Amino acid sequence: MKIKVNNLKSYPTSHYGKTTARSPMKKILFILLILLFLTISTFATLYYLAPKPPLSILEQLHRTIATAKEQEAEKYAPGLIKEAEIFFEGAKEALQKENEKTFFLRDYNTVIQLVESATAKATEATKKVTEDKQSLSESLQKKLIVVSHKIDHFDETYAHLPLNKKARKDFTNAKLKYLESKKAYERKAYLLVGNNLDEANKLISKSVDAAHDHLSSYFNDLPLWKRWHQETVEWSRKNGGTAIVVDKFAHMCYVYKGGKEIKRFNAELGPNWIGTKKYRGDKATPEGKYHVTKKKAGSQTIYYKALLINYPNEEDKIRYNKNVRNGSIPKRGIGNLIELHGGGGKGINWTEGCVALTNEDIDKLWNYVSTGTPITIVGSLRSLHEINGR
Amino acid sequence: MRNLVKTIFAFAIAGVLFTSCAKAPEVEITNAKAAIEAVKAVEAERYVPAEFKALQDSLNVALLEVENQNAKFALFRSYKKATATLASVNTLSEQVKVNAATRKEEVKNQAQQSLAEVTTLVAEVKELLAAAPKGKEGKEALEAIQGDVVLVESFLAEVSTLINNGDYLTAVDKVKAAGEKAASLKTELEEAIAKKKGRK
Repeated sequence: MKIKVNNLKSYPTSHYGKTTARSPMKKILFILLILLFLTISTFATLYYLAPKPPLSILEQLHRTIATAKEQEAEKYAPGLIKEAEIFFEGAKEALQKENEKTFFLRDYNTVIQLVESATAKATEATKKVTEDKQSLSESLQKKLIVVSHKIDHFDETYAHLPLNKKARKDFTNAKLKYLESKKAYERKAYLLVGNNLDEANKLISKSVDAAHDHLSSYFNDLPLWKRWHQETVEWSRKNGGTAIVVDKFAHMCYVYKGGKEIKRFNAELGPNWIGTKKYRGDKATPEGKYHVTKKKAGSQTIYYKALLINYPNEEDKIRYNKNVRNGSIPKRGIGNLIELHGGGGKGINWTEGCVALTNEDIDKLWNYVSTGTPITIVGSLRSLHEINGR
Repeated sequence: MRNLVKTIFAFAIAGVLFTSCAKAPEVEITNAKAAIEAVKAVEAERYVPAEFKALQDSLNVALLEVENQNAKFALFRSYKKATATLASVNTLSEQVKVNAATRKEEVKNQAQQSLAEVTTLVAEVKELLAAAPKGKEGKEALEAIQGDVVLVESFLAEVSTLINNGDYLTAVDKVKAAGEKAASLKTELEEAIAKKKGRK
């Protein structure tokens, strides 16, 4: 009986079947917890060890591309920056694709490779832009200096010459295009500078060449002018008399006595003073050996005082007739009444072909001159090379 | 015990339900990209390059943040930061658009003002030309200046075309060049006239 009771005490629940149901439940729960723990641990380990998306290098790449673009890579290295962007887009797509996979199956190597390729291209583009810009800036600066020198040279040497309208138009156009190029260069818009500057260079070169060619053919007579000058000075030396030489290119009137220069005055001429006078009304100043035929003053002249010369001389007449015959000039008459007179000092070439001095200078000259005094008018006493360095 | 298990499951389900709502901000991304395109359309790249770059940087940061979240386990994703950045891109893009338009307007006004000034200068040169002595003295020089004035005017016509086409920066270069030339012509004429007056 005691034993029974003991038995009953030892297995109180088995009698109702409760203990037998709870123990396996606990076990299952315990196992489940273990499994859950293991799963979470495994998951956490795998998650921890799983490759991380290379976001920092992607961000760095974006900055590299942005820097390249900021430096105008799209203009200076379009191919390279395009390639960099294609690789960048590829990298982003690859990243998205990898992120869609289960985390422990991801592999970002393709992304990294694409980022590396894109970075290399973008860096190359930036380098190319920097180098190209630097070299373009230097070459444009040199070109600007060259064109500027040409413009200054033309301005100093040729702009005041009676050139044709086309030469002046080309010169002004060149100057405008040069100024525009300079402004674009100053704001570093180098790609805009090139075309305008090339055009300016072409125009100014054309103007300089045209002016130089025009003068070159004019200066063919230099040996003749030098001979006339020498003969005139020699005449003055031999006779101890006064002789006058007008250098048209220098716009100077020289007075010689006894073969020595004793005075020089500034002179103004006809607007078309390059080339000798050919016919009436051509506004050119004649070239040749002349002499004073009459001294005019008071009511005899409207230019204060005047020294009439014997234009046209025999050579002028022969040339005029020949030119009329071959039709190279209109038959308007050879012209006359060429003088050295006062009324000058206007700073421009304004006469109908005469040589104008200031009233003060004509006064000074007046006393040295008498009827018969030689007056030689030459194109130039200096060579074109001495004048323009070409 | 049973209650504890139930509670854990309830929290777990609620957590899953709650976190699984974190979806990539696709609409915001589309909107931000559209905003950048709209900014591009007003030439912000040209007129406010630094601001445009900052805007693009922000978009890129947001997109990378989205990818950063995409890379995470679904339960841990949060697009709040990316969404906030995308929202700031939208807000900022409006400001950049305004700034670009303002800058563009400034350059346009500068071009138009310069054009008006040079046009006035050319008119003054023409007046001086008309007032210059008509005699034989310097007739050729005046004709040459007249030729130059015609060229300057043709340059100004090109400036007007550039302004109409919206190429204001090139227009400013051109109008400044024309202005320098017109000023030199004016000086040339004034000096010649003064010289003439001085002689009288």
